Amino acid sequence: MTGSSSQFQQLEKLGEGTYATVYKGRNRTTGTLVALKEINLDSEEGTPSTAIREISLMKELDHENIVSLYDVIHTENKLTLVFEFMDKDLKRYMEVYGNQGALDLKLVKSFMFQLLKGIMFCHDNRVLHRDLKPQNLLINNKGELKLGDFGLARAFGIPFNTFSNEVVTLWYRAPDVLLGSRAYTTSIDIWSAGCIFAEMCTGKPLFPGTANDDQLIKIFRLMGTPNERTWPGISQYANYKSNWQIFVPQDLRLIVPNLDLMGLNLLQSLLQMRPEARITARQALQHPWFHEITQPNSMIQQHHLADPYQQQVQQTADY
Amino acid sequence: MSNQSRNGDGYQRNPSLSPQADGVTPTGSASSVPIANITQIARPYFTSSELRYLHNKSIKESEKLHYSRTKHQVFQFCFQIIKQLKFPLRVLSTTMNYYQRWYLFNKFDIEQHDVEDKLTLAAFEKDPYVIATTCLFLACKNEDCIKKLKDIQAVANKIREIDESKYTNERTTSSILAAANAANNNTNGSITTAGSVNNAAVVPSSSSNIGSGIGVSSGSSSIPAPVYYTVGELHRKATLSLEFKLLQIIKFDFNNGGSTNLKLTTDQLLIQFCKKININYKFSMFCWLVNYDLIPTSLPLTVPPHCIALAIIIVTLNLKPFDLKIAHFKDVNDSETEISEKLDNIDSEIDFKCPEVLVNEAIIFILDFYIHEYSKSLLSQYLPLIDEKSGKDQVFKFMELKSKFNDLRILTEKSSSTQDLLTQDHYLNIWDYSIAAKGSTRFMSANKRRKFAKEL
Repeated sequence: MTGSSSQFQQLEKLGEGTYATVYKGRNRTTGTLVALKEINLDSEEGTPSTAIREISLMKELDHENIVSLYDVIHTENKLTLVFEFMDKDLKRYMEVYGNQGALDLKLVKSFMFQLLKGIMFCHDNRVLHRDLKPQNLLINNKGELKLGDFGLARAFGIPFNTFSNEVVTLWYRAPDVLLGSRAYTTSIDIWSAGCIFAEMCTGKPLFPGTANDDQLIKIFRLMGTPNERTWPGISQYANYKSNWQIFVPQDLRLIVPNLDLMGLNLLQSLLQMRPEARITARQALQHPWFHEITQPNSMIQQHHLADPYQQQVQQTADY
Repeated sequence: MSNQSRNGDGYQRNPSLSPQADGVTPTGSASSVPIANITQIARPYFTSSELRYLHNKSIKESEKLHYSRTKHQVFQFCFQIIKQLKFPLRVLSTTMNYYQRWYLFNKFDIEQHDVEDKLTLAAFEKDPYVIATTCLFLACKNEDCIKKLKDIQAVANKIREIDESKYTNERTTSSILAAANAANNNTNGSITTAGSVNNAAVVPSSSSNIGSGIGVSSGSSSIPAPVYYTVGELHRKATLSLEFKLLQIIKFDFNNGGSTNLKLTTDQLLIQFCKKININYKFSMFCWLVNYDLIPTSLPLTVPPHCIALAIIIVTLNLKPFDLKIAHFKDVNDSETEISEKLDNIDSEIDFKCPEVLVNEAIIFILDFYIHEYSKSLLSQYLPLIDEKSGKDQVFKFMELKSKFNDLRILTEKSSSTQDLLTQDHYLNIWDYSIAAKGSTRFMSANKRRKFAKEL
């Protein structure tokens, strides 16, 4: 991508992942900004399977809340994925525009709605993201939120072998996964969405665990320690322990004090300990908390976002 | 170039040629040196005349028979690997799809060298078995059945009875590699520094670092040749190089032609469809056998998986194979009327989103296939030699059905049947890897092309 031969001009480095380096780029013909993800080829295994998974899933998923993969470019023995350019990830966005990380509730509502729409689209297309976290949610200067980084995603359907239990970043990992479940489904993405929801409201990660057990304890401390009565079948999980410290469920209001009751109800539905009890993305989108977005006519239109980039939008070319 | 949209309706042929999207064109960049640059959108399916045209370019007339014989051997070979690694059948389907795609855009070129000549990187990269292993390696990654390359390679080479520790005629280009190999082999604590290639420390022991348990190599390892690759190493080098090429050949379209639901293969769809139509065990088994027979054919390059699956079911319900020999499961045969009812109730477009003309195309292909290849098929092993009802060879049942289907509407191939159109279509050229090496090749996603409308 560095050479002048390319259709894309490589600009500054945006970040570095385990299997790729991401640069900002510009399409020479149209001037459109893009993100160029340069894949590092493994000397033993060739093209990383994560890259293949990402290409195969993202080429198929065409939705306004999912980052678009435009092209794959093969040049000078390098492989580059061309993605739609997004200004910031949610983590950075909260750092820069949040009040000590916490975002305005109107913005939280808009982002949650878009996040759930993206998740619903994935799930409708039989794709689990498996790695939802603020760093993987990208925001552009129009206030649009899109799911990115599908390196760990997989199509669910008829599984060949059980999934590895080392996938979701610890903080956003569902309790059933932490307990050793390998048969998880769409509900794991929903748990992550709940954690992100709380984090957007408070500016702080909800369950910042340091290790698998610590992560579980942090969850129990807030949600209550589960037992066979509250979660039938829990003792069957590989990582179940009979001697967990007993915590009683806390009121979420104490943790997320600025969130209204309706929002707390939604949060509670997302953060259900039992995977079967967790709300689906489709159900969540119909939650009354979103009515001002989904049924704008029934109320005064009040969801015009206080978007800090209003001026920038004017300047940036439409892409 | 034409492109097939992969939306819910599945399959559309767009005969219009849009030269901007294809062909070798110099870039319009500010740099004054024009560099080759190619942009393509994957075309997962080809008409049979396109396939013929491609094969005429890639396979010499005199080699055609050799090609198809090799393809069947390769199919058996891949089946063995998949069986040993306990992979699902879809890995085999994807492997054979890639393998066949490879020879649409690469020359089938296996000249008889003597054995010594064969152990070079160039020879490895032309070896259909090495190409097939590469296809399988990529198919595994795509189908989420991850296995390390060396493990796949070990199984493959064991089946072929190839000793991986034997030395090849290919010199290692970098002495660092030789040193690294020595370190890997744990033969010696001292690691040679770059440059001192002929140091005794890099003489490997009999154990190869790839595929343990291959045993002591015979004779050949006695040649003290530390700067040569072993077969195992060279195989890996060839596979990685071929994988990179294969990615261009499949145009980064990992959905294997893309079904509406993400990459479901025919066997997966077949099971779902049989359930939906309530096909009994025996007939489902028949369907499954037909599917297996079709994996190494060109049908998956012509018709998307859901249409193949439905065609298989329609053929099965028409043939009513009551006499299929399955010992391990007994179920009640449906009556003739029940079967006809099921057949009549199939609405390919509404219930299965299969364009009828494509289902028809597949039906005719399946019948032709069995009319010509029945004796070699897996299916023939599960049916009695003589059909009970008619008292004739089984193959007559397929012929009879074909005459019944004589007036089925199939692909007209209007878009591409003329030689003139085929030769104008740059997509159908033998693939030039130097474009990617020197310039760039760009593979666009068909469903996102509109976002680049300004550019095209």
